[in-house]
This record gives sequence, structure tokens and C-alpha cells, in this order.
Amino acid sequence: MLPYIARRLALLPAILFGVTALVFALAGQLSPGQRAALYVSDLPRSPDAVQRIIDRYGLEDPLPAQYARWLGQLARGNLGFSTTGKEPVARVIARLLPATLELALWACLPIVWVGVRLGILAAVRHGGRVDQALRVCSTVGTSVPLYLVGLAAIMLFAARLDWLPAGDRLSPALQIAADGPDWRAPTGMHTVDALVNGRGDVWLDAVRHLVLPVLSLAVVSWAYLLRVTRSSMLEALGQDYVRTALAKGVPRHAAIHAHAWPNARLPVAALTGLTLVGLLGGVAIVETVFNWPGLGNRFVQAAVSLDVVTTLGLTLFGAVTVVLGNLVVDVASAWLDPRIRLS
Amino acid sequence: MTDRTPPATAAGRRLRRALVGNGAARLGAVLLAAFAAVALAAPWLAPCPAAAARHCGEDPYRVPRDGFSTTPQPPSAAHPFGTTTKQHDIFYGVVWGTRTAFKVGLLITLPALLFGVAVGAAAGYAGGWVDEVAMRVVEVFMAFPFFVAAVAMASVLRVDPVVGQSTLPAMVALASFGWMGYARLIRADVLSVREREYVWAARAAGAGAGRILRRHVVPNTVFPVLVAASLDVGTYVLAFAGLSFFGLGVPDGYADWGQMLAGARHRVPSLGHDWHLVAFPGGALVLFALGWTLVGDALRDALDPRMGGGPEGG
Repeated sequence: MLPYIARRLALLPAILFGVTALVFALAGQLSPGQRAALYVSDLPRSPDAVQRIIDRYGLEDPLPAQYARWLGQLARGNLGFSTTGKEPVARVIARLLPATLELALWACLPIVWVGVRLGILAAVRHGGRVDQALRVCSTVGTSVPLYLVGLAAIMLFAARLDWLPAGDRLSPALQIAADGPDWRAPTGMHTVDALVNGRGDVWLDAVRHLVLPVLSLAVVSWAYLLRVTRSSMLEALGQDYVRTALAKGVPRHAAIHAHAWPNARLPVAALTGLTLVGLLGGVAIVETVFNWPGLGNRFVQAAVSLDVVTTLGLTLFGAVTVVLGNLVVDVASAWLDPRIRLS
Repeated sequence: MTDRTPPATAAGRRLRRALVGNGAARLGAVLLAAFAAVALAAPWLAPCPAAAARHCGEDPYRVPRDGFSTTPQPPSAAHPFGTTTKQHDIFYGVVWGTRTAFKVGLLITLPALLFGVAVGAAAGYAGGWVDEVAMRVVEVFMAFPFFVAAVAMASVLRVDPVVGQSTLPAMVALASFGWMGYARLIRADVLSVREREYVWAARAAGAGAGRILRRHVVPNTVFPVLVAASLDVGTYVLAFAGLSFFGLGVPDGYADWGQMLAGARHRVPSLGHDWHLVAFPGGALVLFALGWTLVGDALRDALDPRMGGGPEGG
């Protein structure tokens, strides 16, 4: 196991180098003048002011020198200054990360729990009516984009039926309480902090605000996870050892759960991990549609306002998160499946 | 008994059987054909009204506007699908948006496919450190969540005042982060094909690497990649509409399904009443993507159940 982790860790610097280089290259799409203009707020932008900034920050230096300087700042935790947020990008991340984490963590549970179960169900009932219905649902589900799912959910459950709130993390009145000086916020996640503060009403309100975003994320992920689990499970069910087990009289549910599933779950586990890592893009979409004050929402707002510094800073943060997440998934799969770590 | 059918013909036969014999695939094909018909017939289905000649007279992709009220109109005889929050005619936008969908689908898929095939084939054929570097580059691109990367790149490209006002930034961004699956897919096949006798024969006859790749290696490995790419057209159209939905795809008033949907985001409290803002453009998007998915599933089943690749949906 240790050699595998060591091998995997050895690749990390190369990938991180590539990720930073790619973000740097994206910024390099802009001319020095355009990059300087990002920081000149007074209009009309006088050419002198722009040229002064170019000189002062060495925006016309050779690219390797600029890249090295930027890496040095990154190493010190400086991701630049967000002009739309009027604060450093690093502080934007620190401030908004809890909201995003809360949404993502709540989404994980139903996605994995229900998605995998539906996949097993479809495989066990292979060809039956349940399987057919689930297949139709998952095919349609993969064709509905997440932003439309969110919008439709808002239209139906918030605007039409008025069952659940359409956006934000808390109702205005309770938000004031959560922003107040007496509020203890060890995690920044309202569903946890509400318990710490002993406020049942805030907890309930926070959960009510989570339902639609979480469900939107889940519906789209289910469609995908169901397919993967179903095909993996079908393959396992067709193996000789399952047929042997059934032939020698092992009860059907035991054959499914004790013989087929342990083998089918390896690829499912790996893909589940990747789905959760891949949730990042989905979270950005859902946050924007539901006006959830998290990192993804801020990211899209910054991109629309052409605030390049914030956009690229958050992109880099997202990519590094994915790289580390993939690492965890790989190590976990190797731990589960000796074939991976010995290959 | 031995099967002496050449693999290509067998694949072709399986393909035909999959498309004709499968009800779901037939439905998908019918959907796509209907969209193609709408796209071709757009000038007759949704002609530019004389009163709005200054909008769509010069550029038919500019959706005609009816007034400046911010209250969307429900479906009526004048506006069969109603109007958006900016009084753009949704029927016109949906019909001409069909053309936009096919256009951006092809214009994103083709460059991504060409680049992916070039990188993957070259890497697989050259092997050694070229392959190693190319695959690390693929991994780096894959480290970025597809949607996040596309948003970031589209935003950066939109800083340019001229290019920023076109559909180019979003298309370039999506293609730039869509090629990796194709590169991986073809590379794996090239690795096996490059050791075949006919490649050795070509090498012995003195053919250069470029010629061998073009004449022998790529033609024999490109088919699965072509299929994978053709299936992704639907995904790309959804992603592009997503960028438009968030305001990063097309300029204001451009005939695009995502753009038609965008106004609904700012009318959330009254969406229970203004259902047409979501239903018509959203329905077009879903049916279009469903068409590709159904046809794609059949193709995938027919060719190789284990085939993957392409971008992940955003």
C-alpha cells in the first residue's frame, strides 16, 4: 500500500505545476494593458496610469519571470485582490467555503445512498418493469441540464406550490440572528451551528433552504450513478460464482448481497468518489440558480462581471481541490482493490 | 464455424440494427430529424416580422422585440410561446435557436475532436516521453471541473471588447476543455494498432511517421472516437446553453435556448405564473439532448458496451 501512495504522491507536483501553468496561461490570454486595466478603477483609463501599473508590476517581463513571481505569491497564500468583492480572494474563499461545504456535504448522502440502491435494484430486476422505468428515468435525467432542473424545481415547489424557499441559506429574519454578535459559528455551516446555539428554528429553516438545491444536485447525479451501478452489478450477477451460489441453493438475496455486490462495488466506489469530486461544477451551477451565497455563486458572478482575478483564483482553488480529491479517491480504491495497487 | 466478416462491416451491420430495431433509438432519431427540419425551415416557420426589421432584418439571429415592458407576456396569437422579460419573442428564439444549437454543437465538437485525435494519435504512436508528457497534460486539463473551466475561460476571453460580443468565447472555452476524452480514447487504440503488421510493412516501405499516422493508424482507430464525439454534441449544446443561461454565451437578444431561459432567473417569485419562460426553451433543450442521448446509447451498445470518453456533463 505504501509504495502505491508514494508513487501517486510523486506525480502530485507535476500535476500541480501543470494546473498553475494552465491558469497562468489563461491569464496570459490578456494583454499587459488589459491586465493592468483590471486594476484601474478611474474612468476614462488614462494610458499613463495603465503604463505605470504595467511597469510597476512588471507585466511586460518575460513570462517565466512573471510565472515565478506569481507562484511565490501563491505560496504565501496570496491569490490576488477581488475587485468585485473588495477583499483578497483568499478571504473570499475562507468566508464562503462553509456555505459551499454545507451544500456539498448534504448532497453527498442522498446521491450515494439512493443512487447506488436504485442501481442495484435495476440490476436485480433486470429486464423487469422496475428496471425499464428506472432506465427511462435515468436516460431522461441525463438529458436535463442541472440549471434547468434547479429552475424547474423553483418554479414548481417554490413559486407555484410555495412549499419551500426558492433561494438563500436562511429566511431574512433568522439570517439576522445568524449574523448577530451572539451567534457562535464554529463551522459556518448553519445546520451545525444552529445545534451548537441550540436554535431548533434556525436548524429547520436551514434544512428547508437546503432541500431544493440538494435534490437538484441529487437527481442529476442519480441518473449517472444508477447507470454505473446497474451495469457493474449486472456484470457481477452474470459471473459463474454467482450462478454457482444460486445453483447450490444460496438464497437469492444472499447471492446478491454476499456474492455479487462485494465485487460490483469496487468500480462503483471509485466512480462514486469521482462523482463527488465532480460535484464541484454542479455545486457552482446550483448555487447560482438558487442564489446560495457560496463560492460557486461568487465564481459565476465574478466571471460574468469579468473580474478575472477572482475568477481565476477560484478556478485554481477548484482545480487543486479536484486534484487532491482524486488522490484520495485513488488511494481509497487501491486500499479496497489490491489489483489497482499491485499493477 | 468461423466468422469471416471484416470487422468494419460487422460493426456497420450492428449499427444499422441498433438504430432501426430499437424503439428508443428510433425515437431519438425522429427527435433529431424534427429539430433538423425546424432548423432548415426556420425562415418560413418564424419569419422576421416587418415591424421588427431593425432587429432581425439584417441578422436573423437577433430575436425581435415587442416593446420595452419588463413583464413577460403569456402565449398569445401574436407570440405563440409568449415573450421573455425583455419582450423577446420566445417562439422566434426557440425556432432560430435550433440553428444555434446545431451550429455550436458542431463548432465545438469538431475542433475538440480534431485536437484530441491529433494529440492522442501522436502520443500513442510516438510513445516514450512524448506519450508521458501528453498524458500528463491531459490529466492537468481534466483536473479542472468542465463547467468551472469553461466559465473561467469564457470570462477571460470576453474581456476583449470585440471578441467578447460574439459567441466565440463560450465555444472556444468548451472546446478547449472537451478534447481530453478523445485523446485518451484514440491513444489506447493506437497503442495496439502501431504494432500491427501493416504498420510495420508501411514503415519497412519507408513511409514517414506522418504518412503512417494519416494513412494507416488514424483511419483504423478513429471510428470509436467519432462515435464518442457525435454523442457529445448534445452535452456540448447543453453546456453552451448553460453558459448563455448565466450570461457568458451569446450577446443579449441572440436566438439561443439558454439565453431565452436566462430571464426566468430574475422572475423567480412569479414563475408559478410565467411558466412559459421555462417550459418552451427548456423543453427544446431537453428534447434535443434526449435525441442525442437515445441515438448515442444505441450506438454505444452496438459498438462497445465499455466505451467511455468525452466531457462530463455540467
